[in-house]
Amino acid sequence: MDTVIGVQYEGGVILAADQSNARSILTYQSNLDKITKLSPSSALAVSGPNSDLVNFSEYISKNISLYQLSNDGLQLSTHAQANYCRGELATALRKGPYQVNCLLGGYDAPSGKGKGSLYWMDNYAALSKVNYGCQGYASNFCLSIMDRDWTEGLDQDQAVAIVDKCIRELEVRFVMSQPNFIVKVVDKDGVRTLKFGADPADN
Amino acid sequence: MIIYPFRKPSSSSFLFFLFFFVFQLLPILVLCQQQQQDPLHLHGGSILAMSGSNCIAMAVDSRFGSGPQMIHTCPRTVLLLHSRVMVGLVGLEGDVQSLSHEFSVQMENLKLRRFLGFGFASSSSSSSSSSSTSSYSSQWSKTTSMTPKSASCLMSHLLYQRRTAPYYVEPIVVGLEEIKATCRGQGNDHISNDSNHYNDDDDDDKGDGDDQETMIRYKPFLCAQDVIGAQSKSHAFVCSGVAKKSLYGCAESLWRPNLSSKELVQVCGKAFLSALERDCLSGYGAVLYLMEGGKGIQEIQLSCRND
Repeated sequence: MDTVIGVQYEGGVILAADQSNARSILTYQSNLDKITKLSPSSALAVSGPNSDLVNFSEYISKNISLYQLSNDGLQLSTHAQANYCRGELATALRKGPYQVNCLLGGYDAPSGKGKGSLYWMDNYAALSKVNYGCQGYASNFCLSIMDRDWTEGLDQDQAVAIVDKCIRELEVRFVMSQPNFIVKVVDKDGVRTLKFGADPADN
Repeated sequence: MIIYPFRKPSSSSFLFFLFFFVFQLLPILVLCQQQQQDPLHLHGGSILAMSGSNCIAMAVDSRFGSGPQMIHTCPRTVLLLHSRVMVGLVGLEGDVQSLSHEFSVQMENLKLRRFLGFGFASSSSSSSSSSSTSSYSSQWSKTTSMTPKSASCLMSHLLYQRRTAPYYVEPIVVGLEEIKATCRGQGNDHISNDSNHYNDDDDDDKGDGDDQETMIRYKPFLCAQDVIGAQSKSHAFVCSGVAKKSLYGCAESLWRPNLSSKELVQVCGKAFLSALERDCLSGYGAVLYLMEGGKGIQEIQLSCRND
């Protein structure tokens, strides 16, 4: 039901998610922020039931902060964070699984890799490094758009244009109404919100 | 577990029981938002390994999908222990990654001679002459390579450890066992395995010298395992993954004994691709790893249908 879209470009990652918090026939809220900042240069966009969404993203982000605090401010690379996230999902899989599908996007400084990386993770703890990805029903509509438009060496505007195209497509063809989307960018300047349909801070 | 006091079954309480237990099951069924599928068929993927004379080819596909949808194309996980043993893993991708981590940790422990948990240290005591742990360690460090049989047993053990909640992975362990054939008229074969190091009555120790010629042949070892580590060995070919049934058919019709390495690449590649064409959950690229005795491992990309 949730839509999560991610596109990696030269210099960072764009993450987009719909803002509706709904179950069955009822929409509880339409200004939810499903993209959590994990570290100064990475963010986790999560789809799934709200309970697991919030629980999982808070758990991961706080543990990554804890690691930083316990290790003299050492920042984990995106690859390490993604594998940590996968490990948590794998351990929980046979105890009490998180029903979350995530996209983790991060930027590593030039001394590391110097580009953005995007990791696709599903609720069965399968991890895959991708150039672009979708979670949820959106994948049926948006993956082919990204297959056609994505190339190596995009810049931020082109990547945002691809995400916009995907969102337009969902508006036209997806049966569920998702009026608001939040779009965030992860690059060398950190994690920041580019645009949103409804202000998540409005409560 | 909720225990009910025993009651005489009347129709209304029976219905109550029925509804209650069905209600218990429903949340578990609804838990997975995807279709209720066999976990081994969720992410797709297939592997075929075939043997030739002194060589082995393992073909793996590159599709990582979520049911019918393709997520990413990246070759299946293949663990390379050293130039004569390979382990290919296919199944539920999360478990593939967990199992490959576990296996790698065990290999690291063995390399650094940290004998934890499996009692490797105690197994050397069977040898009459060298029964101390340090002597075994020096034997290990001399060879520093695990035989495919041992790797297969290790994998089997790791899988069986989770008998009650298994890893949904069907690994294939393949390798080449060294056979040193010394031609002295008749020729005397003896397998130089770690496990046989206590055979002290070897003819090799009698130095005859002049006419001795040591030829190293490589005997292929192929082993496929199921989710709880039951080993199934073959001298010809083994298959694993979603296209297993098609692969067995293709391989059976195309394989013949004593294939040279070039022929093996052709035969294995063709058998693999024909089976993949008919299977929607595998494909999107294929990689063939050719392991030749004494030469190492070569990676060959095969082109196939992208669907």
